[in-house]
Amino acid sequence: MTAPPSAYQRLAPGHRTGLAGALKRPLVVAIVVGTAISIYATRRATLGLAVSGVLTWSFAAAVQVLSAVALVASSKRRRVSVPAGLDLLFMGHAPWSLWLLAVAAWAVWLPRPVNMDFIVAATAAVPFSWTVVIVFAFCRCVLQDDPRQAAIRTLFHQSLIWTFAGAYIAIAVQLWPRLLGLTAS
Amino acid sequence: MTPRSAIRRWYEASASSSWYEALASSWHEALAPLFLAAGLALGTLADAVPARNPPVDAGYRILAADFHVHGFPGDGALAPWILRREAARAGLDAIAITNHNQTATARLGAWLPREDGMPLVLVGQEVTAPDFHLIAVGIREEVDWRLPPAAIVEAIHAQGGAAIAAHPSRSYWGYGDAAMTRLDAAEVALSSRASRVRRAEVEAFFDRVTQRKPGLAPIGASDFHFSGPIGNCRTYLFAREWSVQGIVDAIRAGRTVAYDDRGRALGDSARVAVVERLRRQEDASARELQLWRHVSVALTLFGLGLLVVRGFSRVTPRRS
Repeated sequence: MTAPPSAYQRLAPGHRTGLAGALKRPLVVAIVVGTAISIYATRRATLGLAVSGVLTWSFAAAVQVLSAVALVASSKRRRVSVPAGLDLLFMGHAPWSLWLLAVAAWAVWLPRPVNMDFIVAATAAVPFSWTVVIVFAFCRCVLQDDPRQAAIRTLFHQSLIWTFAGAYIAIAVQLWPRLLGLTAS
Repeated sequence: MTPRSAIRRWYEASASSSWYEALASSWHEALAPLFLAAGLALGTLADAVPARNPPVDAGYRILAADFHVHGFPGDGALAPWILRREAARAGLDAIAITNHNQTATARLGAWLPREDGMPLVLVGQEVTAPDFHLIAVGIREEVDWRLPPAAIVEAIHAQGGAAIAAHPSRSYWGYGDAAMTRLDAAEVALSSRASRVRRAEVEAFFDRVTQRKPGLAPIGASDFHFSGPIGNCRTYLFAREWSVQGIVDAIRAGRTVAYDDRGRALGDSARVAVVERLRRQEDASARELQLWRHVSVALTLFGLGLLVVRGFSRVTPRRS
């Protein structure tokens, strides 16, 4: 968590897993995302809320799986198989997972300030930056990229995820009419 | 030291550190699912959703409703089947799911089977145009946001729905005179989290439209996306029946009282008096197991936290 380069250096050489094993950590991510969002929105935790949250928001984990597969499979010098690479990369999801849990706890036990959703979005800069460091270390130690290649590959991986997220948000909030309104005023 | 060299030094130092290996203990591997299961089980057992039975006064059903709720898929956190349950928990008899320029989520919500005493889900849309947002309630299909404002209101009426000006602060005043006089209602009771300026602009809009169209229905709505709660601002309707038609008719006839989240009421004083009496009764009968709710959330979050730490601790295996 605090030292991704050494962790990946030690883990990569002998790391093996099959497809089923590689999907365990994405499943945990889907559970964390779905349950945390449900708690954030309702300030309660029930089985129904958790199951519904996991079902509806599991697409977020699916997008990350696809992006991870694209990242790992595109490397020719990698030291591990694609499932093992997927498993190793998802070990680096802790920053986002812990941030989600912290935000859910905040919603339940701390006062909600004005524009809380925007403040929460701003605090996402922390897990975002931390994740960039982790993915960079993954590219260096597991995919055996040089620093420049690792930076490009990290950018590629994050672009895949954030392009999808941006497209979803743009459609959901109907960004186009809003932009038209801004340009007209 | 430049920022770049500082980052490089930290990166290289981290490659040889080992204190975090203490995280790689194994006790939490078994306890994480237990905490998670216990939290969810406790939360489920303590989760009572009372059936609704709206009171009748002078021949009208008094319904509590929230006409501005966003759902998933869209820019809302919760799926339609959860929104209905959350609405019941919040003491609402009806909600309109109003995603931006789409009605698929709302149609799914309205299509799902409804148990006795559960809130109605109305098909709605937040018609999102460049210079105004308009809530369409009780419609069947999407209304094109590219139409002129008056044509949008007409299209809503043609589908048997009601047109409500959404959070009409100054930047959303682009209705034009023709549309303004055709509006059925306007949101006027906003959350106290909205700025004072914004709330004043919304009230100014309501006064302006009321001068041209007396009887405009005042509406309170939460505009729920991700952080709630649903129904913190709400509308009480004096409806002939607890149905979509009854609700739309009540809005169009102006038989509403709007409440914001500080308990401030806007509407006809006689109706406000009736609703005040009702709200006092509901406050007295409200019983929620707050303690168990907090315990269940704490256990659930702790269990999830352990799951995450467990997953990441494998990154730092003990040296053999």
